[in-house]
Amino acid sequence: MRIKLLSEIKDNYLIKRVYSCPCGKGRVLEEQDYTPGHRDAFVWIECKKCQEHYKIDYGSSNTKWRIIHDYTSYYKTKKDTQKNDNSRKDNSMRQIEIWADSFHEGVWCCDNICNFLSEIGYDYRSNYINGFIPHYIVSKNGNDEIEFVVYGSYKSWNPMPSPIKELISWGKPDFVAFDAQNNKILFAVEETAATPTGNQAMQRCERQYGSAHLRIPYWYFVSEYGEHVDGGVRRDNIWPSIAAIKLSIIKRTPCIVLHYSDIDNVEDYNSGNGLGLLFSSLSKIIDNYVRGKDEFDHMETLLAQQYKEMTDFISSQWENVIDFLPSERLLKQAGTADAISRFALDAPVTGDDALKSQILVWPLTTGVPSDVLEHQQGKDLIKYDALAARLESDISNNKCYILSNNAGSGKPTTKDKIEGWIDDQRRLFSSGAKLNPPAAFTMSIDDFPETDNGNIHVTTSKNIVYLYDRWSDLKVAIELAYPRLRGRLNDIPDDKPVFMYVSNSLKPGRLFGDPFTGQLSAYSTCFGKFDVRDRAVVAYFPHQVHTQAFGRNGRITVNKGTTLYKELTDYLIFNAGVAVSLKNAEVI
Amino acid sequence: MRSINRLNEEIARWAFEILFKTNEEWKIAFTNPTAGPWKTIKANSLIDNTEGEVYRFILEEDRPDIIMYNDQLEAIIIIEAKDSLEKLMVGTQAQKSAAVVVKLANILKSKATNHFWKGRENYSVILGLLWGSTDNPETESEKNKLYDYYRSLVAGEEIVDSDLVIGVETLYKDENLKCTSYFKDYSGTQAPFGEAIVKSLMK
Repeated sequence: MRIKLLSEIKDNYLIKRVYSCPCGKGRVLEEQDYTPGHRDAFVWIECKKCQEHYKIDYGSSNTKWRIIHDYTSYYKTKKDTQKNDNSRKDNSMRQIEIWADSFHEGVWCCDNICNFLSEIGYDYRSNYINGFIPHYIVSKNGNDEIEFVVYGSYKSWNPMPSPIKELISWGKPDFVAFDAQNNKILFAVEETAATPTGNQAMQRCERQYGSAHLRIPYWYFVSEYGEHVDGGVRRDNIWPSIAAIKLSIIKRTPCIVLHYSDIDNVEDYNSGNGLGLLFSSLSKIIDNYVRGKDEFDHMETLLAQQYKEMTDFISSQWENVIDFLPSERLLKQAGTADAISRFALDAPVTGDDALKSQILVWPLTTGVPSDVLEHQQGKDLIKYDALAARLESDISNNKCYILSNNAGSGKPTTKDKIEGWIDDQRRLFSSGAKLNPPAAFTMSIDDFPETDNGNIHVTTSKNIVYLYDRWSDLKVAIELAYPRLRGRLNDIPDDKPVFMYVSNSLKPGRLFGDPFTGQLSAYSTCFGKFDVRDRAVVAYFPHQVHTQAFGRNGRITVNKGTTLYKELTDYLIFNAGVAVSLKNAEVI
Repeated sequence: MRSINRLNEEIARWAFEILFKTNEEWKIAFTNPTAGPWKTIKANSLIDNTEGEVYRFILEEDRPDIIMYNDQLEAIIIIEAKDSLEKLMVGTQAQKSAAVVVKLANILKSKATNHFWKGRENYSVILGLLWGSTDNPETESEKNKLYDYYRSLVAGEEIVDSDLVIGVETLYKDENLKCTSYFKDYSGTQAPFGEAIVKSLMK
């Protein structure tokens, strides 16, 4: 059967095609994956009627497919459904689908929820549907109340519910509980065994933002202590927790970071309070669901306990990361965690509103403690860059401030990698449309200084966060570094404060992928994108070219990175002083 | 009920792994899903039967898809999994996978002082291959080609028992998954050992 091609988009290594379905009322979606070292294709039908009568046939191919009229599956599915229904004691039993990155994660979720439910009077049993799909039946007083079915590997299942499709376009959480009856996601969870060093914890923060944006309760379960490759023990960084508190208040939805492990049991899931708090919360949501209560019924105290853990963690860790923490005293104050919890439950009381404009709000330079500001001075760059040099001199002129006077530099890399990168970027740059005023690709291997052992430094300024009081000051710095942009960046009011983010990265696929997408979403939230007095967000990528944001058709490439940047940033500044406004789909 | 969009590696591997929820003879020491608390090789101590960590993979370290052991047969299988047999043969996949098997065999051999691994350091280490098929199983000739190629890559490595290769096929048919194990003996004398492995895997 031939179906009509409606659109085709190239998205990095993916080619996405959309077809009209056989009945014409829905769509068939195709993804051809050309990721290096991997070749695969996924096709699914997005039409309830056609799902009943057609199926995708891959034959023996991994990448070729056809849509065929399936005269057996609809009737067989009907028969199977009846068979399943007959096996139930209670036909009112409802089903929660656990969609997960892997079956292990889905089973881990169900095992823990069921264990916690068994502590409050439920029983459970489990089996495998069709010999492999994990299936749990939870009962109370002899009545089967709810069942969990685990679908491991999101894209392997047909049809994927639209709320899940929408959520994972912002980044895939490890598991999601979906109520198919009400077409609603109950919660999403990201858990990681990755050692919390460098950007590890940050690189998952785009999922945190995506869930909060869609008002889906979200938990991020991460190790507080981890063993680094050098054998030393590291403690998690504070930004995911800060972003989660701010998102809870702004989006009025639970957004929580929980830690496992302790100093004596690094990376141990069962140490610390995190695991217990996580599954107490998830099982309580399920219990409320079974009893027909509001999903967060009687959860204020439980959530407040988790926010208290988060504020305590930030209070005990910030001095190891930054020079000062705004509202430090408020964070420690009794009642703060309760108030955050009320915001998360969308039930703030009189007096809570003040918290929104006070807690974890990075101030203008006039609000920075004077001893901190006095010590902050611009520093020499490791690799010269005209804009980075101006950002550093603006620190000395008190036009902006930074997070720490003690920022570290990025890891040097090998000369051949940089040369390869520059060639790729040059090719990409020349593939773009001509710009007016013209822009010239300027990256050269000679600009990158060598280390003592022959590697190459890629760091320009060590700082990656600059908080400006006024856009007009940052705009001057940008225009002096890149005169072609003079008078052309007019979307931001001059008096508006700005968060400027710098990424020196030269690694392929990172611009719109991990870890920068997560890092930028956490930082944008932390540094005021949604504050009462909000900050504009500008990101600078001195070693990347603008054409990476666009497909061959000249349209913005659709991926989680561009989706997030479009939502969170005002301008992206690339090599050669090319600016992009993803919001306006404009290259400047 | 949702249906499988297409059989992929995660599903093919999972269908095999769950056999060992009830199989007393084989234990899975490591499996390689996308994330989670499964990044370490774990085993039950032969001394006191407590479970603990044998080895922890560092970030971005190449790792196999499954490591399993059998204390009765004194055997370890290190498995590379893909969603199709064809993908096990694509490009440099086989070289990479064989190198991982050799590396892991050396690591496990060196764990004689690890409380949880002690006593298993001299077990036979066998290369295993797992693939998915849809509707029809792979032919004998395709399977033999696969075994022979991988075997040729570990033949010179003493640390790996290259007289045997184990194959596992996850067949997706009529909404159900079925796993079948195979072996190929290259020595002419290892067939009983291979048969015992396959029989115990499918218990």
